[in-house]
Amino acid sequence: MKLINMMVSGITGIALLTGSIATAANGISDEDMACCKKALSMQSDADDIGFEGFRLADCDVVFNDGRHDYVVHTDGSSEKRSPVISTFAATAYENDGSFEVIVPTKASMGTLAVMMGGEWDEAHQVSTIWHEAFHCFQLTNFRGNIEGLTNGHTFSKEDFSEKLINDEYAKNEKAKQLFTKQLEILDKARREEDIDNIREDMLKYKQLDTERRELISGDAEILEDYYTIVEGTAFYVEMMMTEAQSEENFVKEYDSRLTVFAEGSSKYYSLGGAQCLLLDRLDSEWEAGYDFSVPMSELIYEKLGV
Amino acid sequence: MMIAVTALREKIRKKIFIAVTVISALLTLLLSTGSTTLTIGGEPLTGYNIMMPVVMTVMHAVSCIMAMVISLGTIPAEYERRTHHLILTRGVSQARYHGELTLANVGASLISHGIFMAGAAVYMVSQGHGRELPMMLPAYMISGLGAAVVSTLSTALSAVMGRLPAGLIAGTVTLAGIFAPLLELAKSMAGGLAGKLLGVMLFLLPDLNSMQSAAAKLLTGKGSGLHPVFTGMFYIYLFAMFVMIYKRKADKE
Repeated sequence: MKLINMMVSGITGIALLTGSIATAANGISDEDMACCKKALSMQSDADDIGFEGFRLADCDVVFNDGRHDYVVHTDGSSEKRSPVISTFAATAYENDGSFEVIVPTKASMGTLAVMMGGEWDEAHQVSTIWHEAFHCFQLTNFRGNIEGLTNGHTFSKEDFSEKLINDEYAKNEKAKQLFTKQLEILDKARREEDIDNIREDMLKYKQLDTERRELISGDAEILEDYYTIVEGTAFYVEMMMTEAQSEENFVKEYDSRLTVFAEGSSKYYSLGGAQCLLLDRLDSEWEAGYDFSVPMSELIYEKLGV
Repeated sequence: MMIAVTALREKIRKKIFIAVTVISALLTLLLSTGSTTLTIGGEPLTGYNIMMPVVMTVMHAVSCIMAMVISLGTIPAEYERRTHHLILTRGVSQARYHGELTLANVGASLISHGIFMAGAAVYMVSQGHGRELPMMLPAYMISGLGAAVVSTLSTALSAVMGRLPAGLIAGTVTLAGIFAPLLELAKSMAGGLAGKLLGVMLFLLPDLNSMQSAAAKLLTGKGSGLHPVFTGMFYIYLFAMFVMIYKRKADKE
C-alpha cells in the first residue's frame, strides 16, 4: 500500500512538472505579436512621413523578456533564442550583418511604466518599434554619414555617453536656459500661420543657438549634433506613428515634452523632433533625400533664408 | 478526513472569516465607489477592462497574505497544545496528520479567497458586467491556486521552524511572488551577478502574479494559458509533500 501511495505521489509530481514545462511560454506572447502585426500594418503611415526606403518589414523585430529574445523574422516566422544584449533597452542591434529592432516585451515596459508613474499600451509599444526600426534604416542606409557626425571629437569611446552632456549642462545654468528658450521658440514657430513670423522666430533661435554653443565644449557640440540628428529624426518618426494611431495620444504624450529641458540625451530627442515638425511646416517633403549628414536646423535656415 | 474537517471547523470558530469579510467589503467599497480614485501618472484609472485587473490584483494580494496568516499557526498550535499526542497515539501517522492539517489550511485559505473574489464579483456586477459572472468560477479556481500555494508554503515552513522565521520567509516569498514582474524587470535592468541571482530567485519562487493575471485575463475576455495552473499545482504538491515527509521532532517524544 505504501509503495502504491509513493508511486501515485511520484507520478502526480512528474505529471504536474511535465505539464508546467510543456505549457511554459515557448514563443512570442499574443500581445507582443499583436503589437508587431499592428506596427507592420502601419507601413502606409510610415510611407506618408516620406523617408524613402524606410520599411519595418525589412527588419527582424525582437521582443526581450529578460530571459529570452522572441524574434519575428522578416519572412513572418518566429523563434526563441538567448538574449543578444544583456541590458534592458529598446535599440537597433547589428546581428549577422543586418540590423534588428530589439524592444523589451510590452509586459516589461508596462511594469516599468507603472513603476515610473505612467502607463504603457499597445500604441506606445508600436511607436517604439517604429522608432527603433528607423535607427535600423539609418544605420543600414546611411551608416557612413551617421558615423561621420562624430568626426573631430576628442572624447574616448567610453565618454560617448550622456555623462558628457550632463556634466556640461550641470555646470552651465545659462546654457540650460538658452536651450529651453530654443525649444519654446521652435514650438511657437511650428504653430505660426505666417511664414514671416516663423522667419522672425528662427532668426532669434539662430542667435540663441550661436550664443549657447559658445558656452559648451566642442565635444559636447559634436555629441549634440549627433543626438539631435540621429535621435531627433527617430523621435519624429515615433511621434508621427503615435499621431497616426491617435491624435489625442500625440498631444498627451509629446506636446508638453517638446518644450521641456530634459536631462541626458533626451533633450535632443525633443530638439530634433521639434525641428523635424517645423521642417514639415516649411516643406512637407523635406524627408525625401535627407541623408543625415547635416543638422535639421541648417535645412530650416536654408529654407527660410536666415 | 476527520482531522481536516475538525481543524477547518476550529478556524471557522475563530471568526477569522469575519475579519476577511470586513477587509473584502472595505476593498470592494474602496475600489468601486467614486470616493477613491486610483490614478497612474495623474490620470484616473477608469473603465472595466483597466480596473478589473487592478481589482483582481488587490484582492489576490490580500488573499495571499490572509492565506499566510491563516496557515502559519496551525501545526505549531497543535504541538503547543499537545493535541498531536492524542492523534498520533491513535495510530494516525504524522504524514497523514500533517497532510490533513495542510488540507484544512488550504480549505480555509480557499474560503477566505472566495470571500475576496465575492468582493470582486460585486465590483463586476456594479460595473454592469453581471452577465460575465459565470467566468468568476474558473477565475476563482485559477487565482485560488495562489492562495493555496501560500497556504501550503506557510504550513510547510511552520512545521520546520518557529512562527516568526516561518512568517518572515513565507511573507518574503509571497511578496516576491506577487511582485514577480517587478523582479523580472529588476533582473533585466541589473544584469551581472545581481541579475543572475534575481534570475535564480525567480526560477525557484512561485510566480503568484501569473495566477492572478491569468484569472484577470479570463474575466476581461483575453483568454488564459494553462501554465500558471500547472505551476501553481506543482508548488502546492511540492510543499504538501514536504509537510508530509518531514518528520517533526516532537513526534519522537
